[in-house]
Amino acid sequence: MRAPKYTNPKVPEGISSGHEHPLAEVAKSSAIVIALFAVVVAGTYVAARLAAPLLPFAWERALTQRMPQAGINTDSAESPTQRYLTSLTARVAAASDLPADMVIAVHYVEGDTVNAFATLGGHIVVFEGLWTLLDSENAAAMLLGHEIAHVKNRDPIRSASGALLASLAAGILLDNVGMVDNLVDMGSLLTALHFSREQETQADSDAARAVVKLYGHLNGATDLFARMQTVAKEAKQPPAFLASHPYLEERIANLRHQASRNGWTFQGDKKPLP
Amino acid sequence: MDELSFEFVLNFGIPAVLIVVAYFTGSLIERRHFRQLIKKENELRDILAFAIRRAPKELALSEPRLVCGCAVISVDYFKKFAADLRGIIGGRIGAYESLFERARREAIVRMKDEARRHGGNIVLNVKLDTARIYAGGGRATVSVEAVAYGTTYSKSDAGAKVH
Repeated sequence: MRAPKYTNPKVPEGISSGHEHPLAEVAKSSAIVIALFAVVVAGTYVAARLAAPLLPFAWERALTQRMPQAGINTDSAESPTQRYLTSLTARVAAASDLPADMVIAVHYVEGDTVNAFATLGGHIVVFEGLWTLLDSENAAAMLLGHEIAHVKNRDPIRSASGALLASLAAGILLDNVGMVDNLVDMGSLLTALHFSREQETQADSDAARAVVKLYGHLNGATDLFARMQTVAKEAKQPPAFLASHPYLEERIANLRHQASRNGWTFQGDKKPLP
Repeated sequence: MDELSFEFVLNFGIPAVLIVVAYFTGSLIERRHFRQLIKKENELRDILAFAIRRAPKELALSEPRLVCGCAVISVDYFKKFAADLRGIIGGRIGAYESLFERARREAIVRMKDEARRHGGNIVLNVKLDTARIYAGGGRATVSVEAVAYGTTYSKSDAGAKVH
């Protein structure tokens, strides 16, 4: 019954499959995927930071009006300190050569927190704990000038965009496994923006320029740094200010260097706080 | 922080454990299946199978009959993971290649088995179909089905004379 010329010889194993051990295959593709992931996330981070300053300030402001401003109470009753801060901020801002469309809003927050920060939308927050460490208007102007310079240099939007878009890219790559919510915690994003050493140094230089423009000298400008050093040494836990504004010694040295280069003097009368 | 680590365990820890477990169970089952396949294929070596459509004249007077074999094999968590990685970078999905090979060979074995039960020793015009079976949504584990079918020729009274 069999057709004699037809045969089905035994086919060797491993033709259609088994060319590579499954673990080796997974290890190899995992390595490539992780490398790709790192490149894409880091690339997004860098691109977002570079592109963020192109975002018009008005858009940044509009964006933050819809975000929860953690720790910022915008409709608090105007305390004398808040009124004073607002007027001093206006004077420092005027001396800071801000672009015409840039609006600065300063917020005084009561509490022990020893910190001050600039965040998205031109908002600056000064905590009572830090404010009480200031002993002259010059030191206060330096502090405000520093935070205003961050806004002017678009540092908050750069840091926020980098963190936000990088975690968004990571989330998309991880295929929405629920990590996006954790990585992008809007509240902490706004209050814990981290600026680079270069950004801090630049903000110090800009602030010093504004202070010299206002008072003609830098006396008192570095008082806050000195006070911060003392507080940091005495405190059991490092104050919040140190987390967002590190490298104190380096920054004082940098300011002295800037002053001698620009011919700014540290001699002059300090203006007392009201 | 606790909530975050819980979320982390949920998102990465549990799948990682499943992948490791699935690798061991999956490769154990696969190795055993291949051993069984080789054994059964040897047992059925006298049943020939070809893709030619027309029966040679020696079979002209025997009785043609459709025979069919089908096998469904499930993807495991490890294979799915390996394939997902491949889905990002491209390339041969070795984990699925062996899966489909097992399904195809098992289907052919079962088809030949049926042919033998009908007294045939050759299957012509053999065709293979594969299908994926979705178990729910897009991310759910899938199974693969392979169907082998062809025409066998068994002895009839007329065929007996030819023989």
